[in-house]
Amino acid sequence: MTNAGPLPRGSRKKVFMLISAIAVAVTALLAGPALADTSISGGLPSSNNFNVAAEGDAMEITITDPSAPLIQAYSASPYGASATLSSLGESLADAGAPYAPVIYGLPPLVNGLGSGGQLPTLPPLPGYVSSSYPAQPTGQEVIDGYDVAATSSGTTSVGQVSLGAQAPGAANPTMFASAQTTVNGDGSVTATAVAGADAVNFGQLFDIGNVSSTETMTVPTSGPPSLKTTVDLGTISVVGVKTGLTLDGLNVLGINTPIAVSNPVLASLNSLLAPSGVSLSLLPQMFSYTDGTTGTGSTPDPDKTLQGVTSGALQVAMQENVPSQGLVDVTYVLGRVYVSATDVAGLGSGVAPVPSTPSSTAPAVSSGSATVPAAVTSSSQSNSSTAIPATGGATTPVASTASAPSNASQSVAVAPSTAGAPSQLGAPSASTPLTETRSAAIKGPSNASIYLILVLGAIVIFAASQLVRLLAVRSTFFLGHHP
Amino acid sequence: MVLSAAAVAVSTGYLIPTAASASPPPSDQSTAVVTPLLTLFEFGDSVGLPEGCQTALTAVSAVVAQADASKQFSPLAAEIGSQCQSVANEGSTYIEQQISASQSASALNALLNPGITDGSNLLTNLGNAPGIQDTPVGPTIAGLGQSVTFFSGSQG
Repeated sequence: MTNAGPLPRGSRKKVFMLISAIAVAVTALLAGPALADTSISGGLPSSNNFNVAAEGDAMEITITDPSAPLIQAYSASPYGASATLSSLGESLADAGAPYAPVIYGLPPLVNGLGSGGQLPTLPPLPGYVSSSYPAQPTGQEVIDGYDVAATSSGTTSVGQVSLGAQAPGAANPTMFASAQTTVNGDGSVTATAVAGADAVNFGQLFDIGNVSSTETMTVPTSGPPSLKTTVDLGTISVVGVKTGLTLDGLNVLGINTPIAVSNPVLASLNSLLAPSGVSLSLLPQMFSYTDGTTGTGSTPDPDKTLQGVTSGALQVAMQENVPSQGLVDVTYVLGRVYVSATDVAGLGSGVAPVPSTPSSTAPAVSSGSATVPAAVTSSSQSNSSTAIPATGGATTPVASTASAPSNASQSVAVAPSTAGAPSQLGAPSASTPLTETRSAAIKGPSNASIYLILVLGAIVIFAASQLVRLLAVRSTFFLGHHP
Repeated sequence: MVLSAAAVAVSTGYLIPTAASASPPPSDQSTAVVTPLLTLFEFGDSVGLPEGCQTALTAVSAVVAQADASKQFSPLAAEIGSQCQSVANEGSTYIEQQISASQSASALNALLNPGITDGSNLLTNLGNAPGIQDTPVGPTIAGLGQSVTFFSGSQG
């Protein structure tokens, strides 16, 4: 074997020229198209970095058993939907009744564990659909009185649940939940979540009807986000007599008479229901900000940048005496939805305006069933039609304000109370605009810049490898092969 | 230099005989229903049993820790875990022997496979039938058709 000596000066020059030529060619091939086309694959009409998420869980049930082994709190959601959209190309939606994504994810997990013919493939569990763009753009399960659907495209994702019958003239079926995320033609992003129920029966105590929540958050490419909140806490009907419901109380509240939910009504009702271990409360609206802090109230902190909103809700806490377990706490949270949206401009132009997306491109979740909630057009989106169920309240939200739902015939929204109850769900007035503004100066790298970074990284690695090669040749000198 | 070359060859895997080439290739013969069931049992024995033991021990350990008796329980837990693994190993050996024995009955496949295939097709077609395909149970029924094929034997 012969020792490799240093390359002649002419050959070394040729090598460096070849390296330079390759580097320039690679840069031109990869970075050129990437920099020229800043749009994200899949048709997202924005070069911004955005992440939009929405979830609607009309009823969250939490059972707390202090004497249970290992886990004391168990949560479940009878039905719900969620949707996610991001500038990285993620466009997902799911819907289920019951809604338990973790449980529904078990069959694929088991199939992965048993791959190789060790286990039979588990079929998908009924009652849950999901969609992802472009792999599986739609999913739907329909039967009379039952409709779960999920649709995803490059610009929007929608998950929707409709359960029960829809009475003639009613805007929604008995139980409904929907979540939609959209990137609009002007680069703004919108997250909308709706959830509610027309009738929830709590045994012989009372019925709760027409409870629903809607949160719509739109984040433009520059300027303040707009938030529209519609919370309809519905009505309560005392339907029977049980321990703790005295005759006087029933006379005050009335039997089988829908009563609008409000703090005074809840105070009276709680005093009547206390011996039964039942209490009702109004959960406040919660805001999360980009700095990681959270807050509650009727309007977000004007000095912070809003990132997400959790709607207000009606909570029913009960205590059940289970023979083997003792007292078990059961908590129902009705009509709570979540939205979250961020939209940060990228480098360069920040936003790449494109022609408006026609409404026909928004995937409307259609169904052959007559129980699908009425599709409404969001007032905040002039270019896309949504398939979000309409809420019962005759609400006219105002952009950039958290609007107060107006009174309807069968629903009453809780107005801000001066009593200052800690769990009060307040409806803000139109005179308190959402003044927190997103910094238009926020600039970050666009998604397309990753290609340039990759190319530069490849060049550096290639140059480093050549440097190591040259040093390795020279190292033979230190090994004693040369005098 | 020879050593260097050998080291390079070893590091790149050229001189390392693979396990597959050292041992005879496993027989791909299987008897319908019987061999897949035994395979299922082997998975439960080799994976499920140790995992179940560990999960149970973890649960018991949590309770024991609350009773402030972890020190006394630790040797017992280690012994139980060891016994679990030993039982799993013995069971796996036994089941593998049965799998090998079952392969000799692959002549039954000509009798069983058509029924399994028909059952699978029936479920798949039922799940994908108009009117059922979009119902909540449609994909589940169709997926069961795929599950049934697990129990078919080797062809030929």
